[in-house]
Amino acid sequence: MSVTCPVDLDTQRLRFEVSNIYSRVVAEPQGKFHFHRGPAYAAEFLGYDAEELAALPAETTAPFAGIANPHRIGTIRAGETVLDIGCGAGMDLLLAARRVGPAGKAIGVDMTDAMVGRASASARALGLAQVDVRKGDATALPVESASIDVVISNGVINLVPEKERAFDEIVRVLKPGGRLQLGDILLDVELSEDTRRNIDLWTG
Amino acid sequence: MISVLNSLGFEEVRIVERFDCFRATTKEATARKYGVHGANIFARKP
Repeated sequence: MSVTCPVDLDTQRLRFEVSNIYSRVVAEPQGKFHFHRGPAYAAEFLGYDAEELAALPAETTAPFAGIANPHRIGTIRAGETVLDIGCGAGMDLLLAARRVGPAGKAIGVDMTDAMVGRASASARALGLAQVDVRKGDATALPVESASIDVVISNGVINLVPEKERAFDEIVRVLKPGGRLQLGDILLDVELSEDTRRNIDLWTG
Repeated sequence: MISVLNSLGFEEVRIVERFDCFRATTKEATARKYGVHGANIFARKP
């Protein structure tokens, strides 16, 4: 079950709140939030390889706030082109970049300047020239059509009010036969209209 | 989510794994109330 956006939800405010919260996570990952962050959480709760995470810059792993693990869904192969939608500080993106290697490409898209800057800096620090981080939105991806082998995303699509547009964009950028390896929020119960208008719950 | 992916023509759509990602957070009770959890989802474009 997924969440459908009420037609009168203030999507501009929702985008602002999402951007604000995750910019704060980058600036202060040890701050008070109502969701887990960091590499220890990723390893214990989501099954990431702790040694792989330890080899990444702390500036990238500390703000990680994903809710699943796209890398456990399927193998990302050398030479492939991967797109990480809402790449954040870049943890999943850099893991993907290591898998595709120098013959591949790992493109990250995020709507916040703080995340784009952090992910780009970490890629440079690791010498991963195959990483390309772009500012953009899940509903208007700055990516060429039919150019992506694997789309990954982790805890982002649930925050996008216009989910149909986001999925249309995923369809557009994937090559025929391309894979979607999506980590996202699912719900077991139908939400009421009032609940779906509650921006605190959307951003939580 | 699964029905949306199917309606878009994706193939092999499936939930691969679920995660209790809100355990031990201040939102755990809310997550339990609504059955909210993280999930790994796979789909392939035809």
